[in-house]
Amino acid sequence: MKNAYILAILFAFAVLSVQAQKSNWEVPADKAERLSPATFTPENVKSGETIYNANCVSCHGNPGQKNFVPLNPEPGDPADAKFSMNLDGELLYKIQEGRGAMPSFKATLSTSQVWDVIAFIRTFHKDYAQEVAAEVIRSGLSGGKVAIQLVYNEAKHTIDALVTEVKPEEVKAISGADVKLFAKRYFGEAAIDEVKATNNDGKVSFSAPSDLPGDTAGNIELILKLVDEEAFGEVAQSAVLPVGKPTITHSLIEKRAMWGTVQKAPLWILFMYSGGVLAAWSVIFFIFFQLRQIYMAGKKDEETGVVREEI
Amino acid sequence: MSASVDHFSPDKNKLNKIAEDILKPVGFSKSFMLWMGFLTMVFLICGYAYGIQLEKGLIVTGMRDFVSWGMYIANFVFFVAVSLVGMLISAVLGLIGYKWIKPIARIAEIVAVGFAMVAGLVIVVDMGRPDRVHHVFLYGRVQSPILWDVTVITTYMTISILLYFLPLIPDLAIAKGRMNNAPKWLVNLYEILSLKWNHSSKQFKILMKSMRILLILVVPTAFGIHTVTSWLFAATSRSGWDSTIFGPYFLTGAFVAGTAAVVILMFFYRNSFKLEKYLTDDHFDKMGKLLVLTALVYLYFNINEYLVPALKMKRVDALHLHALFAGHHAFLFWATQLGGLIIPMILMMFKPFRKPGVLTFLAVCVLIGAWFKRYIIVIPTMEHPNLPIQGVPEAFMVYSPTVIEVAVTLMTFVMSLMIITILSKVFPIIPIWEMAEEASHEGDAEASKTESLPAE
Repeated sequence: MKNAYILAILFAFAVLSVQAQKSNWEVPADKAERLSPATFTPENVKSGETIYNANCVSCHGNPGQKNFVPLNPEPGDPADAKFSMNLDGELLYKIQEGRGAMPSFKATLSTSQVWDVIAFIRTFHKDYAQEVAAEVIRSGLSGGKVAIQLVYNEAKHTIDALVTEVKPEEVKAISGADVKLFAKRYFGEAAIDEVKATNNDGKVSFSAPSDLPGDTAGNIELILKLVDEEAFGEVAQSAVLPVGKPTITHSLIEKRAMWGTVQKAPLWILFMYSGGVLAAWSVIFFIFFQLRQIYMAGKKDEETGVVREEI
Repeated sequence: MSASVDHFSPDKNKLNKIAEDILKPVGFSKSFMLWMGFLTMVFLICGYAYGIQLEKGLIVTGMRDFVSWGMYIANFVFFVAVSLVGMLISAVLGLIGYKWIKPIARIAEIVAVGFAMVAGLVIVVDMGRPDRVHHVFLYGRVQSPILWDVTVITTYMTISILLYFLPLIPDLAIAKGRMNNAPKWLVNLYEILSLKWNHSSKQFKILMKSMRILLILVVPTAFGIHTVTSWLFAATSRSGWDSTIFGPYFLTGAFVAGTAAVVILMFFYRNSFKLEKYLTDDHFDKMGKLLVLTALVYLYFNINEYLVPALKMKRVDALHLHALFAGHHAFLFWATQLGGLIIPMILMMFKPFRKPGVLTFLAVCVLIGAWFKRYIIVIPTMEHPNLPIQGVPEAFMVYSPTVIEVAVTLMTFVMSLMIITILSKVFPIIPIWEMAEEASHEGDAEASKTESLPAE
């Protein structure tokens, strides 16, 4: 039985590693054909360059200079044919999903930010001509703007959201829309709970995690996003709510430590050092005193006129 | 020196003869002036090199970002090491009760004083901003081995000076009346330093007690000084230094270097000061045996220090060990181990090689080997930091000392030699009163032997 487990694990590893080594990175057909909703502008390229330098350059290097990090499989230079042969939709998918050592940027970058990166990369592809999405996507809104309210229900320990469409004349609940909740972390955004759909009142409730570290007051910046970007556009609302555990950091030099200043030295080492110095030097001073005694004895003999045999 | 004397009544004739022999070389002779003139000249030239370093900073040395400890620190370890011999001879052998060390003990203390005094300065020359040296005391941290080192070196130096000075007091009193041709300042100096010594048993009692206390105190202090020096290295996790036996390894190495230095000085005094009667072939023979013993112990620690990591060959250690055994530093490594330790040690096991001349030659080999051994301990480790070196100039990766560094190192040796030279020309280098006492005892022993004959 044990052997069977080991075999199964080995087999699973073999399959996984073969898949990881596959050079073809298959992108589902509908995703591959996806196009940018707008023509790339110099502003897109500029913003893309900034995003590229912040997120991609550490592995892929500067496009065209082939100074990517020598990893296996190698990340490759985005100016190369390996990249330029991709459709826009394929690049979008690969950046958003990631594979192996290539991380997923879905949670870190918004779709339009990824399009900006693609706009930047495309400037290195000589024969590239952009195709823009032909049809305007059907909107899930009826002329208004999306408004999202986020509140923390302390009693139930849930994060409740109300998603509405705001028009000048009325406020209408958006029902049946998929929404996703994130918490802002140092690198990217961490998904909280799972994708949920709003109910008929436009309300949705996420169970709040109990162990997420917040700031000193336990505050965490939460972001609610509507999943269907094609229907609603990029809609996200952030709010700082006290859902996390307060993080109280202690300074490493608060207490006595080996690395502290002498005022904050551990007591044992303070005593050992000063004890040693005191012991040695009190003996040395005792010897100095003895030298004085020798002198005094000689002087006394001199004064009392004790004549010693000349040596 | 023996700690049992509380009354001094030597055979007058013998004392006169001994005092005459030993006091003869005291004073500033022509050859002394020449030698000091030479030393001063070298000192000035090397001092000029140090002046350049002071002005331009440590950039004039071969030390860079990775190898930030170079020849100076190796030299510092060497100076501390050599100075330890004072403790070995006066305290360890003296307290056990060996009588033959009596004429050598003061020479060992001169070496201790000369090298311990300069050791502190060697550290100062390694400082980029020596004008901030007092910051060690202002901002020193008791948690740092560097502060312990400063403390313990100062303490050891003081004790060594006392151990040199205390047995000198009776000699100064003896010499006072016999310095007919000496310059006035020297007579005055003797008068002041002899502390109104009149050979009374009260004074002897105090002197003996003080000596006994100092000889005991110097043992832990000397252990402390070199163990702390070794901790400057062993308290880090770098390969080559990350060792639990660094303390005893340094100590035993120090005894080898110091004993060799004493042999060399003995040879010099014996020939130049015409002291063959006091520094006899037998003394050299015994010092040779002592050198063999210390070398054997040191070899044992060397085997532990290199063989154990070599058997394991941990990845971080492997780079370092390969550089020593077969790489960049192989020549120096094997030269110090074989030429500076193993071969002299084996030769000295045979009596003909313990004759004064041959032994001194071997001691010179050992002392040079000892200096380069410190170089081998300090620099190769520095060249292999735990994180790989990438994209830095070639000079950062491989250390080679500059002319200025060599000159400044030479300057420290010159300073040490100056102290030793002055001490050995201003004061008698062999304890007169102890030798006289010894000679009288021999006479007594012979006398008592003849006296006891009829009773048999």
